[in-house]
Amino acid sequence: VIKHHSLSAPPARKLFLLRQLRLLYSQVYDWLQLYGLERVELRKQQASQWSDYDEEKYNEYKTIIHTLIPPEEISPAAIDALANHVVCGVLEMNFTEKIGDVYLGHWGRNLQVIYREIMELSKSEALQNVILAKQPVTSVTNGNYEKTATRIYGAFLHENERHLGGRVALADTNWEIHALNPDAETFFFRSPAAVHFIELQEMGNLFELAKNGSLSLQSINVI
Amino acid sequence: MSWTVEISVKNDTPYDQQVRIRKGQVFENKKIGTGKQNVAASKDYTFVLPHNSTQKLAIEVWCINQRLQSPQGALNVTNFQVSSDFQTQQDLWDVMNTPTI
Repeated sequence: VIKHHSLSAPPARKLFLLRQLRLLYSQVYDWLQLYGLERVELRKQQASQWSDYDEEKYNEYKTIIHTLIPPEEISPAAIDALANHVVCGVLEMNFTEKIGDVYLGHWGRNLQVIYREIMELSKSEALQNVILAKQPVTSVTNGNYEKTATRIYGAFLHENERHLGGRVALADTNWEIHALNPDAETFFFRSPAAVHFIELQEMGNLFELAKNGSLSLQSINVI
Repeated sequence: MSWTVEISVKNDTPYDQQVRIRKGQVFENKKIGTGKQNVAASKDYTFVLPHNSTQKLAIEVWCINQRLQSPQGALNVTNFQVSSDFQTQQDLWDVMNTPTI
């Protein structure tokens, strides 16, 4: 059974995660706006107790606080960058501060986890653009490849009488790529873009003229 | 090494026609799984076909499927073009050997 590719992320899940990311970030943002500078100034005053204090880090901390992006404007990647600072970067000094009952550092980790999942879902969406179908590699053999590929690539032209096509080059090239990865567990049926084919765009190309009947191809042979 | 695709084509219209074949234009085998390479034009071509005439066009091509046998026999012209630039046969194989997935 051919399983048509279904790696695409449920949009609802991704939307949910994006909202969660922004919601959690808004908590961290509010805390840093309210207490960030106060805390770091206090630390500076107590520099003798701050074993790893250095001026550069102090200035960087202040810059981050002064340039915090509001929750409604920030991108997911920028949230992740901020989270990295909270967990193990310049803002790590606030790791054990609490928002509610939760350490700021743990808020940062939660942001990282959500961001990673969003990235995974995005990657899956991208894959959907280049894989038309997939199935276990054991089910695709030399003997049945033509039949299977004909079905999956059925939308691509194959008119031998008029010497017009596209399906065979795509199917053969896809088969050859599989041979490069003999240990793969999944057999992918790639899209044209995935094998570096693009559709002809320019007017007046041989294919177009033959297809629309302006020219008739009588034979094409390689010699 | 390069190969030549010979195309016999008839201009069915009462006016002269310009025909373009772009570098990377893919020509394919007639059947899936022949074990023979498909090919792509190695450079750009432009021809003018006089009205109601039949012409033979010769196109230099390179192979696109390195692991398959030499191209042979009848082909189809496809609506595909290799999307990346290439300068040599090896370039073209290198492109085709690096699918995006």
